[in-house]
Amino acid sequence: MRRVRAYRVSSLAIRHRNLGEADRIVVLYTRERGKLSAVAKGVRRTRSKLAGGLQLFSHARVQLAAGRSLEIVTQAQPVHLFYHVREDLQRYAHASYAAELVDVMVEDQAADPALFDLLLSVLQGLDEEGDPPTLIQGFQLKVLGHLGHGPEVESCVGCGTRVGTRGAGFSVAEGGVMCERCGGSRTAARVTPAALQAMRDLVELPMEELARRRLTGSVREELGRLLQPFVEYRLPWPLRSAEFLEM
Amino acid sequence: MGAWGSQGCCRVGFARDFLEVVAAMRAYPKPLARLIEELEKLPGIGPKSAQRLALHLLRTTEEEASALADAIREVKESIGTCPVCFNYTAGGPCELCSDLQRDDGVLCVVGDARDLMAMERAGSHRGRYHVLQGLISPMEGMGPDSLRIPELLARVREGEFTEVILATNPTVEGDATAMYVARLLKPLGIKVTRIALGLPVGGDLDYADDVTISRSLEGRREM
Repeated sequence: MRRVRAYRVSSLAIRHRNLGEADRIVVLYTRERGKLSAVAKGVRRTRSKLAGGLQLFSHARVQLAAGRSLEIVTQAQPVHLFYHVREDLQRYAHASYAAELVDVMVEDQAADPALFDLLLSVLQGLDEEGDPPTLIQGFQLKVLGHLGHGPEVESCVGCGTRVGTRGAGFSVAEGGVMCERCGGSRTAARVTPAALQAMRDLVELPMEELARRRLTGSVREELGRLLQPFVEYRLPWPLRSAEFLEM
Repeated sequence: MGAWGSQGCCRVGFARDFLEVVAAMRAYPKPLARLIEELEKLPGIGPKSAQRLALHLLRTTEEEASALADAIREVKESIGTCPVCFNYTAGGPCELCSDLQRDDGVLCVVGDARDLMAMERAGSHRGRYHVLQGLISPMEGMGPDSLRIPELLARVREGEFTEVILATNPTVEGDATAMYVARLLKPLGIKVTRIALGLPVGGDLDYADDVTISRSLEGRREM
């Protein structure tokens, strides 16, 4: 007899692709089982009972059954749809970037509740009044840090001495800040005291706090110039949504 | 049988199907194998279905097979996009654009040609159409520049439209696209409307999500 294996997870829909006449493959980032792909049958029909909870970015309680190669969605109860994200192109582009970053950085079926909570909180921040660039730069630093790829922001990656905010450099390839002496001899970009302090704050402060902050234009731009290549350097391929962050 | 066993069994089954087809391909004469290979490229057609379709075509009459081949060739040779609304057309402005009976005051904006066909099937819209040829999706690399938005703005500026109906899908992509287009159209001083959101005919209130229910309340009407 074949055992039916159904289980419930808390999920965020991070990508989807149409399949056949009315089905869709959804890539879910779940709290309990990490990233997994599932078939949602009939989800494109207007009367589908699954459609609500499986929309892009939506947070849902989902019941899955083990299928032949992909899981099959049997129920989807929406928890939060993050509706405001779609009402503003900038928020939409930033949410897409967050979802794509997680999608590219993690392997299938590796549970990581902390990463799930990070993605959930960045979507919450984007859905509310948070400043999209501030949130995403914080998210980049936190996700990379959590997965062990984060930049060193306190000590020089060349010699290990603590780096003050003055005269510091930042190296994409070496993986973080450099003191004046080491930075001068290698390929490190200059980083202003304000930007370095902002980077430290973004690493330290919780996402909920970042949702209430807004970096000044010049700091945000400088961090973008440093972090964008830093993230890209650690990815297998550049993110498609990255070019829409400037919109 | 335990969970591991049943799954293992499925995997073996799948591998066996695959090997069977590969072995069968070798047994077929080259032209037939080529047809199977071509059919397999179609969406939703796996190796088994491709094999079945190819054998079916082999059994049909010469005329029937040629009719299919001609139809495919003709579609590729003659169908292009309408220079006005970007719907599919067999050369020049499409039938909907050249139809003098239609209302030049109302423009309905849809994501792709299939959505246009769905609107036409319902038969309630008697105005003109504009097909965006996609929806904004950063993850797919689709930005506003990839869509027919400049052409839409030009049409609205030069035309006699009094209302633009945004009829993109009520999905994240469709809503985001509609919001973006609405923001560009508003300064032109034209009435911009969005198709209603709410419960589908024959739907079930119990299964509707919060947003759908809120939208259906916002759009309620007096009886």
